[in-house]
Amino acid sequence: MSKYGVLLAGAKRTHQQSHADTFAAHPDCELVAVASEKGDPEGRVAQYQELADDLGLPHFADLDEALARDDVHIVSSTPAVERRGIVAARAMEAGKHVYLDKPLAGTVADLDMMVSAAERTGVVTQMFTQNLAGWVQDAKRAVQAGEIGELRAIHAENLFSKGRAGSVPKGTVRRESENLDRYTYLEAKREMFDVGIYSLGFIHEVTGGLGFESVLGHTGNYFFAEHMGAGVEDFGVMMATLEGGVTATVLGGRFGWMSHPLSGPQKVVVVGTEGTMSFDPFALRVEVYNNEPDFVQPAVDPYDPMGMWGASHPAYAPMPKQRWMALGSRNVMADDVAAFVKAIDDGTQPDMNAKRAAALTEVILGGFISAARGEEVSLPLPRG
Amino acid sequence: MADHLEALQQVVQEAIDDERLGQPQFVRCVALAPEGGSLDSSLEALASMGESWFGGPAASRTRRGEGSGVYLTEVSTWDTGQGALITVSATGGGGTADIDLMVVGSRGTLYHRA
Repeated sequence: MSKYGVLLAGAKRTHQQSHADTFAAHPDCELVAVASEKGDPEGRVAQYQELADDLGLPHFADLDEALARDDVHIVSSTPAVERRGIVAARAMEAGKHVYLDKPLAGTVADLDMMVSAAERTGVVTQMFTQNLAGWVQDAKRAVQAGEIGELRAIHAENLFSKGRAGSVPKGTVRRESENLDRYTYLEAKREMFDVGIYSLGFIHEVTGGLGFESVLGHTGNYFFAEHMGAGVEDFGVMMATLEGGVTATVLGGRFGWMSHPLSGPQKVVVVGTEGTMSFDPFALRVEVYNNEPDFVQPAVDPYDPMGMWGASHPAYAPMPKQRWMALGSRNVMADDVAAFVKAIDDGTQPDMNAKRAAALTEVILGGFISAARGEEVSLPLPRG
Repeated sequence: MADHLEALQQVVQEAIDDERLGQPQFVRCVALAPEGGSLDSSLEALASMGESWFGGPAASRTRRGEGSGVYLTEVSTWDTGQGALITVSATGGGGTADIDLMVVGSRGTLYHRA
């Protein structure tokens, strides 16, 4: 069988770097090209070119020209949040299977556009999650096997231990806005949006896809002056009501290099009529204490001050955190991409397809509205 | 559990007073109610710890699970921007800790699990 050709619709200093590495390592895939959009700003086009140069691939400055190629079967779509809807929809309309960056998009209109294109074309779509991680699957199996009786409540959290925390001025109080018109900054991202989606994915996976009926959100500027300056949150909490009256709580955020011994806390707690169980990828670990130097936060990378992507120069690369060694950890993106490729092979739709990913992303958009209004918001959000 | 919580409250307060966390910003706590104890009183005990660390009562408290007899979950927010998420359950087992606490500060985080 010939390999699936993968078009990279995303620049350097986006998740495309890890997507590209993962697709390149898949035995049934090969990278074909990098594509930007006509009209992209010059600086952004340079980042696409930089990725193409790194990977030794051609760079098409016209996405539609790249999508017309017969040797492109899959599009790995990681443009800026503001362009995710239109880029993914165009890829689907061109008949390409689409592996989607998370969260799906920043507006309800963009979410609807993607879902509509996916349903109209029938191509295989999947948003990246960490749902196939062993500890998440353990939680799912425990709930499905009835080990806690009937599920009543679930908590999921995911926090990134990156960035130099402590710069936010004392007394900062975040006032959330309903007008989510910008997501992309050099120095900041919306972190309840960007990291909280993983927690929502865990809830989707463990509950078997229970729908969200309402959400209450609270966002904070707790750690980083950069986030406060950009007007975006660095931390958020949501409490939601799921089908059947199940309560779900979610934490997502970025809280600093020094706030966790590894990459940041991840956890799922399920509460049932017969028991409560907690799942954590680091619960099974060894701890190593020796005369190796302790972790020290890296110098601030001028091209990536929050440590979102790879360091722009070795001088800014973080040293490894080595005190904790988790047992049985795997490359979750490799497993996720493998599941996506298998779905293409089998002609099936992945569980986290565009429609389901859109519904989870909409929970976060509802969380922002709730945080701005100070009241619970019903889901789905109103259209038009 | 009362002795445990009292000691925990004190040591967290010491960490805050010594500015080891920076500004205390968020509390996440998942706990089991003691056998024979009420969910409500357990949650109130934990909520009062958060209020002591944040220096005053929450401005809003939204609770779920009332009447379930299985759990209570509460999200609290303060006018000064802080927040808390507390869940107390009546059903244990499966290696669940009696208390799993995370106190998030502006420049550091404190963890306690027992």
